[in-house]
Amino acid sequence: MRGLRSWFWVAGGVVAAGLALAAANGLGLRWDPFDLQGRRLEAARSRAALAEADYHARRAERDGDRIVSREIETVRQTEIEVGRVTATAIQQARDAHDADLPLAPDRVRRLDDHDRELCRHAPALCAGPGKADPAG
Amino acid sequence: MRPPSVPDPVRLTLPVEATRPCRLVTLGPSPTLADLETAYMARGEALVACDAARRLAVATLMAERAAQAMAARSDRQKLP
Repeated sequence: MRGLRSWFWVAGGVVAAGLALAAANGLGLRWDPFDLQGRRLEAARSRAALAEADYHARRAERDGDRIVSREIETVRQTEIEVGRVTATAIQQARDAHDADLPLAPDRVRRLDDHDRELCRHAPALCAGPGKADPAG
Repeated sequence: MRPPSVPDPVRLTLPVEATRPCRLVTLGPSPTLADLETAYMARGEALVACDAARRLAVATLMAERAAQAMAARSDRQKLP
């Protein structure tokens, strides 16, 4: 009988503590000595700020990519048009009545010397001999 | 692992067209008048292509800088 009574007091104490906590919670009181909720809130804010900054960065990248895509299209169009014009002009040069006239040796030497000098300064530029006709 | 505190920076990919080297067309052996004329025209064509590649590289750089500025501006505007 005595044991039952002591259990009654324990259960009553637990119920009373629960009611007190519920009442305190209802009044806006929080038991958070380590500020865990505040830390969670701060972490969530940081994640949100990072996500927003990333969104702005990726959106700016997409806008930049669109500008570059337009520029690439312009370059391709230019290459096509210039290639067409050049191929036509080269064909006319090949068909000219004096097309097969050899260049004078001293002129060839001057041109070769100058090209050699240019290639010495910028080796990566030189297509090499026999590559003069891009139209084939 | 800690999550990053800053987003990946704004980067634009340099188009392959902008990375192509310029070329200098030269005369082959025993050139004729047509070879000279052809090389002259081919050099002009190569110059235009080279300039287009240069402009594309500059445009990409400028677009990247503008995108970085835009991202930074958007970031600043959201701050209280």
